Amino acid sequence: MMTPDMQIALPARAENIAIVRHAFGALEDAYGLDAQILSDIRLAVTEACTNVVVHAYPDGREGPMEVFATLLGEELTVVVRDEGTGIGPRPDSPGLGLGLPLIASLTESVQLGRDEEERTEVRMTFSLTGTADHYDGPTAEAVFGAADTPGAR
Amino acid sequence: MSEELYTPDHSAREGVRLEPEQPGDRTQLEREEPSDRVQLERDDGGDSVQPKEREEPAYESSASLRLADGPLVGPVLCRVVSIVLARANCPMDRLDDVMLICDALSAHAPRHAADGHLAFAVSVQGGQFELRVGELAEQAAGKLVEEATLPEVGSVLERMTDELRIEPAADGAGEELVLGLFF
Repeated sequence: MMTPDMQIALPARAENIAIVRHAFGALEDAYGLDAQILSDIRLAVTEACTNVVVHAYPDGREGPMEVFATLLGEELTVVVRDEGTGIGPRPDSPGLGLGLPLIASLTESVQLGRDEEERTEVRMTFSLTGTADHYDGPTAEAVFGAADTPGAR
Repeated sequence: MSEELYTPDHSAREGVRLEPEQPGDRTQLEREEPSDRVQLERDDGGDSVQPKEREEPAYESSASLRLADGPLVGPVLCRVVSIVLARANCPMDRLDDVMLICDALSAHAPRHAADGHLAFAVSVQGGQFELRVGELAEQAAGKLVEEATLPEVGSVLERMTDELRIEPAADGAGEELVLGLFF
């Protein structure tokens, strides 16, 4: 497994989402990334981090939020990881349930799952040569199920 | 306007009565004795009324970074440190000092990385900022301090920080450079 180029570990608090988002702006400084592609990346990462803050640790519990970014050729892989309750339908969700479909529309591919230590992962892959307009992967509904699963992370 | 509009019940301000004396007379404004003003009572033995100060908890924030020793080090470190300090209401001059430190670290630290990566632990508690630079090779922290110098300024890391120390890494391999600032 490749060692990530960037790892950020923070407490899963709302104010720390901005830190992650701001840190990803460094991709433009370091690699001269296209502004539109970077905007998509930041939006998708922000959504994934927001899901961690809102859903991963219920009942006011505090836990970690980790973000890993690996650049390989013309592809950027970003993994957002938490040690929370996992991803699933949540009828009492405060959100609209649009986060994951939005991520799916902004990425080349997205995988939801758990790592070998049972931590929840959202693994997103971005192409650095084109925008999400070229997206030809599975639809959000195919990935996450029917749209009527309220609160799905 | 109709007189009804000037009946006391329609007065917009408490303590001011709008009352016509006779039909056709001009409306007179009379100030009533204040009856329902808020009274500020003095504490026993106190000379003046002091509003109670609300005690704000000291701001705390922390972030851990691990970066490949490439072009990401400077931009990511500066961005993360600046947003953490800005949120902690760090004064501009101290923020400027810290940015200079981050520039010096990103320029010199990568060649002292033990295994191609550098670890940074950023923390703010109240008015105290700490930056730990980890995964440095053996004897590298001292060299990093020596190398980060400017003509007629000397060691940037020593001059700009309030606290500087070198510690063995927690896992026993290599060193950590610990920089502290107060603001």
